[in-house]
Amino acid sequence: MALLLADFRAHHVAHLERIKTLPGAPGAAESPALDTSGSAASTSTGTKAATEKARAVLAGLAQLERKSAADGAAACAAAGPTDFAVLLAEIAGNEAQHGALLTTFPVPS
Amino acid sequence: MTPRLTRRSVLLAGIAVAAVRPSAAIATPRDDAAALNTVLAVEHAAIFDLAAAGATMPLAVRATVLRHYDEHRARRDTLTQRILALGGAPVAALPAYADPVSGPDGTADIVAVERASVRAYHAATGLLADAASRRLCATAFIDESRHLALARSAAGQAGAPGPFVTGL
Repeated sequence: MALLLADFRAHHVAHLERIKTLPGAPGAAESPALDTSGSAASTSTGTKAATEKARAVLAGLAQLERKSAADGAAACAAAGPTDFAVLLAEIAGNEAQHGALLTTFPVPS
Repeated sequence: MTPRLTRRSVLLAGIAVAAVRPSAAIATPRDDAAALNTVLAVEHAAIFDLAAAGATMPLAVRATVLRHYDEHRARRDTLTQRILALGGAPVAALPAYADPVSGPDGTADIVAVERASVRAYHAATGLLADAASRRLCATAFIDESRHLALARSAAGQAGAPGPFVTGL
Protein backbone atom coordinates (compact mmCIF):
# COMPACT_ATOMS: atom_id res chain seq x y z
CA MET A 1 0.00 0.00 0.00
CA ALA A 2 2.85 2.38 0.85
CA LEU A 3 4.47 1.70 -2.54
CA LEU A 4 1.20 2.32 -4.34
CA LEU A 5 0.68 5.63 -2.55
CA ALA A 6 4.29 6.65 -3.21
CA ASP A 7 3.77 5.98 -6.92
CA PHE A 8 0.62 8.06 -6.95
CA ARG A 9 2.35 10.90 -5.11
CA ALA A 10 5.11 10.82 -7.75
CA HIS A 11 2.42 11.07 -10.42
CA HIS A 12 0.93 14.15 -8.77
CA VAL A 13 4.38 15.74 -8.53
CA ALA A 14 4.85 15.06 -12.25
CA HIS A 15 1.48 16.72 -12.94
CA LEU A 16 2.58 19.80 -10.99
CA GLU A 17 5.93 19.97 -12.76
CA ARG A 18 4.22 19.76 -16.16
CA ILE A 19 1.64 22.39 -15.21
CA LYS A 20 4.40 24.75 -14.04
CA THR A 21 5.85 24.73 -17.56
CA LEU A 22 2.64 26.06 -19.10
CA PRO A 23 2.56 29.70 -20.18
CA GLY A 24 0.85 31.79 -17.51
CA ALA A 25 1.14 29.11 -14.86
CA PRO A 26 1.40 30.28 -11.26
CA GLY A 27 4.90 30.58 -9.82
CA ALA A 28 6.86 27.53 -8.90
CA ALA A 29 5.97 27.76 -5.23
CA GLU A 30 7.10 24.78 -3.24
CA SER A 31 4.37 23.01 -1.38
CA PRO A 32 5.02 22.68 2.35
CA ALA A 33 6.55 19.47 3.56
CA LEU A 34 3.98 16.87 4.50
CA ASP A 35 3.37 16.28 8.17
CA THR A 36 2.91 12.54 8.39
CA SER A 37 3.41 12.25 12.15
CA GLY A 38 -0.23 11.50 12.81
CA SER A 39 -1.03 9.65 9.64
CA ALA A 40 -1.91 6.05 8.99
CA ALA A 41 1.69 5.49 7.92
CA SER A 42 2.77 5.57 11.54
CA THR A 43 0.38 2.80 12.58
CA SER A 44 2.15 -0.38 11.67
CA THR A 45 0.89 -2.63 14.43
CA GLY A 46 -1.54 -4.55 12.24
CA THR A 47 -4.33 -4.17 14.75
CA LYS A 48 -7.96 -4.08 13.75
CA ALA A 49 -8.00 -0.35 14.44
CA ALA A 50 -5.05 0.21 12.13
CA THR A 51 -6.75 -1.81 9.41
CA GLU A 52 -9.91 0.21 9.78
CA LYS A 53 -7.90 3.41 9.64
CA ALA A 54 -6.08 2.25 6.49
CA ARG A 55 -9.42 1.48 4.86
CA ALA A 56 -10.76 4.90 5.83
CA VAL A 57 -7.64 6.63 4.47
CA LEU A 58 -7.89 4.73 1.17
CA ALA A 59 -11.57 5.55 0.86
CA GLY A 60 -10.90 9.23 1.52
CA LEU A 61 -8.05 9.36 -0.97
CA ALA A 62 -10.11 7.52 -3.58
CA GLN A 63 -12.87 10.07 -3.18
CA LEU A 64 -10.39 12.93 -3.60
CA GLU A 65 -8.95 11.34 -6.74
CA ARG A 66 -12.37 10.75 -8.26
CA LYS A 67 -13.40 14.34 -7.54
CA SER A 68 -10.15 15.59 -9.05
CA ALA A 69 -10.70 13.45 -12.16
CA ALA A 70 -14.23 14.77 -12.59
CA ASP A 71 -13.03 18.37 -12.16
CA GLY A 72 -10.26 17.73 -14.69
CA ALA A 73 -12.71 16.38 -17.25
CA ALA A 74 -14.94 19.42 -16.80
CA ALA A 75 -11.95 21.76 -17.19
CA CYS A 76 -10.86 19.84 -20.27
CA ALA A 77 -14.30 20.29 -21.84
CA ALA A 78 -14.15 24.02 -21.12
CA ALA A 79 -10.62 24.46 -22.45
CA GLY A 80 -11.50 24.25 -26.14
CA PRO A 81 -9.84 22.05 -28.74
CA THR A 82 -6.29 22.70 -27.58
CA ASP A 83 -3.18 20.90 -26.39
CA PHE A 84 -4.02 22.24 -22.94
CA ALA A 85 -7.34 20.37 -23.00
CA VAL A 86 -5.49 17.18 -23.92
CA LEU A 87 -3.05 17.66 -21.04
CA LEU A 88 -5.94 18.16 -18.62
CA ALA A 89 -7.51 14.95 -19.90
CA GLU A 90 -4.23 13.06 -19.50
CA ILE A 91 -3.97 14.21 -15.88
CA ALA A 92 -7.65 13.60 -15.13
CA GLY A 93 -7.37 10.11 -16.61
CA ASN A 94 -4.48 9.32 -14.30
CA GLU A 95 -6.43 10.55 -11.30
CA ALA A 96 -9.39 8.39 -12.30
CA GLN A 97 -6.99 5.45 -12.37
CA HIS A 98 -5.76 6.31 -8.88
CA GLY A 99 -9.36 6.46 -7.66
CA ALA A 100 -10.18 3.07 -9.16
CA LEU A 101 -7.07 1.38 -7.80
CA LEU A 102 -7.48 2.84 -4.32
CA THR A 103 -11.10 1.71 -4.26
CA THR A 104 -10.20 -1.86 -5.12
CA PHE A 105 -6.98 -2.09 -3.12
CA PRO A 106 -7.21 -5.15 -0.84
CA VAL A 107 -6.56 -4.25 2.78
CA PRO A 108 -5.91 -7.42 4.78
CA SER A 109 -8.22 -7.94 7.74
CA MET B 1 -6.34 48.78 -56.12
CA THR B 2 -7.99 45.47 -55.19
CA PRO B 3 -5.46 42.65 -54.86
CA ARG B 4 -5.99 39.94 -57.44
CA LEU B 5 -7.47 36.79 -55.92
CA THR B 6 -5.68 33.79 -57.31
CA ARG B 7 -5.81 30.11 -56.37
CA ARG B 8 -2.28 30.49 -55.03
CA SER B 9 -3.17 33.44 -52.78
CA VAL B 10 -6.18 31.58 -51.39
CA LEU B 11 -4.02 28.57 -50.62
CA LEU B 12 -1.37 30.72 -48.96
CA ALA B 13 -4.03 32.46 -46.85
CA GLY B 14 -5.34 29.08 -45.79
CA ILE B 15 -1.88 27.92 -44.82
CA ALA B 16 -1.37 31.11 -42.79
CA VAL B 17 -4.64 30.55 -40.91
CA ALA B 18 -3.75 26.93 -40.27
CA ALA B 19 -0.36 28.01 -38.98
CA VAL B 20 -1.77 30.22 -36.23
CA ARG B 21 -4.82 28.14 -35.27
CA PRO B 22 -5.05 24.49 -34.48
CA SER B 23 -6.90 22.75 -37.29
CA ALA B 24 -9.63 21.74 -34.87
CA ALA B 25 -10.43 25.39 -34.17
CA ILE B 26 -11.99 25.68 -37.60
CA ALA B 27 -13.68 22.30 -37.43
CA THR B 28 -17.29 22.11 -38.58
CA PRO B 29 -20.03 19.99 -37.02
CA ARG B 30 -19.39 17.46 -39.78
CA ASP B 31 -15.71 17.30 -38.79
CA ASP B 32 -16.78 16.68 -35.19
CA ALA B 33 -19.21 13.99 -36.31
CA ALA B 34 -16.41 12.31 -38.27
CA ALA B 35 -14.11 12.39 -35.23
CA LEU B 36 -16.87 10.93 -33.06
CA ASN B 37 -17.54 8.27 -35.68
CA THR B 38 -13.94 7.14 -35.36
CA VAL B 39 -14.48 6.70 -31.63
CA LEU B 40 -17.83 4.97 -32.24
CA ALA B 41 -16.15 2.41 -34.49
CA VAL B 42 -13.70 1.65 -31.68
CA GLU B 43 -16.61 1.28 -29.24
CA HIS B 44 -18.34 -1.21 -31.55
CA ALA B 45 -15.19 -3.32 -31.63
CA ALA B 46 -14.72 -2.97 -27.86
CA ILE B 47 -18.25 -4.21 -27.17
CA PHE B 48 -17.72 -7.28 -29.36
CA ASP B 49 -14.30 -8.00 -27.87
CA LEU B 50 -15.40 -7.51 -24.26
CA ALA B 51 -18.31 -9.89 -24.75
CA ALA B 52 -16.04 -12.56 -26.21
CA ALA B 53 -13.02 -12.12 -23.95
CA GLY B 54 -15.12 -11.41 -20.86
CA ALA B 55 -16.56 -14.91 -20.98
CA THR B 56 -13.08 -16.35 -20.51
CA MET B 57 -12.15 -14.11 -17.58
CA PRO B 58 -11.49 -15.49 -14.12
CA LEU B 59 -14.63 -15.32 -12.05
CA ALA B 60 -13.13 -12.78 -9.65
CA VAL B 61 -12.90 -10.09 -12.33
CA ARG B 62 -15.80 -11.06 -14.56
CA ALA B 63 -18.25 -8.81 -12.72
CA THR B 64 -15.95 -5.82 -13.30
CA VAL B 65 -15.64 -6.65 -17.00
CA LEU B 66 -19.41 -6.96 -17.31
CA ARG B 67 -19.84 -3.56 -15.66
CA HIS B 68 -17.34 -2.05 -18.10
CA TYR B 69 -19.13 -3.80 -20.98
CA ASP B 70 -22.38 -2.11 -19.95
CA GLU B 71 -20.60 1.26 -19.79
CA HIS B 72 -19.25 0.77 -23.32
CA ARG B 73 -22.75 -0.02 -24.58
CA ALA B 74 -24.14 3.09 -22.93
CA ARG B 75 -21.33 5.17 -24.42
CA ARG B 76 -22.03 3.71 -27.86
CA ASP B 77 -25.63 4.90 -27.59
CA THR B 78 -24.60 8.36 -26.37
CA LEU B 79 -22.08 8.72 -29.20
CA THR B 80 -24.72 7.66 -31.73
CA GLN B 81 -27.12 10.32 -30.46
CA ARG B 82 -24.41 12.99 -30.50
CA ILE B 83 -23.37 12.17 -34.07
CA LEU B 84 -26.99 12.37 -35.19
CA ALA B 85 -27.36 15.72 -33.41
CA LEU B 86 -24.35 17.00 -35.37
CA GLY B 87 -25.95 15.93 -38.66
CA GLY B 88 -23.67 12.93 -39.16
CA ALA B 89 -24.44 9.31 -39.94
CA PRO B 90 -23.30 6.97 -37.17
CA VAL B 91 -21.19 4.06 -38.36
CA ALA B 92 -22.71 0.62 -37.84
CA ALA B 93 -20.97 -2.24 -36.12
CA LEU B 94 -19.34 -4.88 -38.29
CA PRO B 95 -20.99 -8.32 -38.22
CA ALA B 96 -17.92 -9.69 -36.42
CA TYR B 97 -14.38 -8.76 -35.50
CA ALA B 98 -11.15 -10.75 -35.42
CA ASP B 99 -10.97 -13.34 -32.66
CA PRO B 100 -10.21 -11.22 -29.61
CA VAL B 101 -9.11 -14.03 -27.30
CA SER B 102 -5.44 -14.74 -27.76
CA GLY B 103 -4.44 -16.44 -24.52
CA PRO B 104 -5.69 -18.92 -21.96
CA ASP B 105 -7.96 -16.23 -20.58
CA GLY B 106 -8.96 -12.84 -21.85
CA THR B 107 -7.07 -10.62 -19.40
CA ALA B 108 -4.40 -9.47 -21.86
CA ASP B 109 -7.05 -8.96 -24.54
CA ILE B 110 -9.16 -6.83 -22.23
CA VAL B 111 -6.12 -4.61 -21.63
CA ALA B 112 -5.71 -4.20 -25.40
CA VAL B 113 -9.40 -3.33 -25.81
CA GLU B 114 -9.35 -0.70 -23.08
CA ARG B 115 -6.07 0.76 -24.29
CA ALA B 116 -7.52 1.18 -27.78
CA SER B 117 -10.55 2.97 -26.30
CA VAL B 118 -8.34 5.30 -24.26
CA ARG B 119 -6.27 6.09 -27.34
CA ALA B 120 -9.37 6.84 -29.43
CA TYR B 121 -10.88 9.22 -26.89
CA HIS B 122 -7.50 10.85 -26.31
CA ALA B 123 -7.18 11.61 -30.03
CA ALA B 124 -10.72 12.94 -30.29
CA THR B 125 -10.54 15.16 -27.22
CA GLY B 126 -7.98 17.45 -28.83
CA LEU B 127 -9.91 17.75 -32.08
CA LEU B 128 -13.50 18.49 -31.22
CA ALA B 129 -14.74 22.05 -31.64
CA ASP B 130 -18.20 21.36 -30.26
CA ALA B 131 -18.21 21.82 -26.46
CA ALA B 132 -20.84 19.17 -25.75
CA SER B 133 -18.94 16.61 -27.82
CA ARG B 134 -15.69 17.51 -26.06
CA ARG B 135 -17.37 17.08 -22.67
CA LEU B 136 -18.65 13.68 -23.78
CA CYS B 137 -15.17 12.63 -24.90
CA ALA B 138 -13.39 13.99 -21.81
CA THR B 139 -15.79 12.15 -19.51
CA ALA B 140 -15.45 8.97 -21.54
CA PHE B 141 -11.69 9.34 -21.50
CA ILE B 142 -11.48 9.28 -17.70
CA ASP B 143 -13.91 6.35 -17.59
CA GLU B 144 -11.77 4.43 -20.06
CA SER B 145 -8.63 5.33 -18.12
CA ARG B 146 -10.29 3.77 -15.07
CA HIS B 147 -11.20 0.66 -17.06
CA LEU B 148 -7.64 0.37 -18.33
CA ALA B 149 -6.17 0.61 -14.82
CA LEU B 150 -8.42 -2.17 -13.52
CA ALA B 151 -7.80 -4.31 -16.61
CA ARG B 152 -4.06 -3.93 -16.19
CA SER B 153 -4.34 -4.89 -12.53
CA ALA B 154 -6.33 -8.00 -13.45
CA ALA B 155 -3.59 -8.91 -15.92
CA GLY B 156 -0.94 -8.59 -13.21
CA GLN B 157 0.45 -5.32 -14.52
CA ALA B 158 0.88 -1.95 -12.81
CA GLY B 159 -2.53 -0.31 -12.89
CA ALA B 160 -1.30 3.24 -13.37
CA PRO B 161 2.26 2.98 -14.70
CA GLY B 162 2.73 6.65 -15.56
CA PRO B 163 1.46 10.10 -14.57
CA PHE B 164 -0.14 10.95 -17.92
CA VAL B 165 -2.69 8.70 -19.61
CA THR B 166 -2.53 8.57 -23.40
CA GLY B 167 -3.26 4.95 -24.25
CA LEU B 168 0.11 4.62 -25.99
